[in-house]
Amino acid sequence: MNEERLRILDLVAAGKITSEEAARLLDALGAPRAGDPAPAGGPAAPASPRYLRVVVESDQPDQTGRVNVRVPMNLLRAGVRLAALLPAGVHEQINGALREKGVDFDVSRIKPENLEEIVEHLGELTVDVEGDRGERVRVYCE
Amino acid sequence: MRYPPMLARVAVGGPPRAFRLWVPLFLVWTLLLVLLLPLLAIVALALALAPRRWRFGPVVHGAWVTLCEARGTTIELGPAHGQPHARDLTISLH
Repeated sequence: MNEERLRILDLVAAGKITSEEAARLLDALGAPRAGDPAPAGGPAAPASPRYLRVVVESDQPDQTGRVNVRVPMNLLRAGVRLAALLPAGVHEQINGALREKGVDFDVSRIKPENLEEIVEHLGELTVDVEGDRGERVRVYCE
Repeated sequence: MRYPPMLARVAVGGPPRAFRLWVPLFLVWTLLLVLLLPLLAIVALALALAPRRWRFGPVVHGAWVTLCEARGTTIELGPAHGQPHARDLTISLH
């Protein structure tokens, strides 16, 4: 048993952390760290996406021909954490504004605890939409 | 240690005749820090008196982290069709 695991067990014994927190920490220790080589013979874990890419292309002369935006995933993470700090009344205002635009979504349901799950699912996301006027929007992770 | 974007790379036009500019954002942050310190005191007071409960420390920290994580953001704008004199514009934060 390595030193880090013993230290976590000591913290539980001292009552500084709960058994659930200790289990999470032990799980994290068991998980491969970024930069660790993949275990020999086993399948490599899918890499977590680092960027969200939004590409908008249009053939219309009155619109910008091409927009290509690359947003770091860490920026999304920080944004969600910041949004979680907004008071409940502000969430309602944002939800109302989204509803006016036809988006029925409850912003308060995005919790920092679910962030990694959201990012993991974003990695599988690919949106490819073609508009009436020939514009094309693609959203994907890389 | 986290730090905000230090340089913004702006490129106008594409190769072979692109105009590239490196904007030293670290100079802007230094100036803004001096200007923002008194403003932060006013914001702290406003948030404390606001009818809704804002937590000043976490909000400022969250805003700082969000600013720092903006490094790596890239925005590319291409000209519209039928505008031969328009140029590509690329902005990336480093």
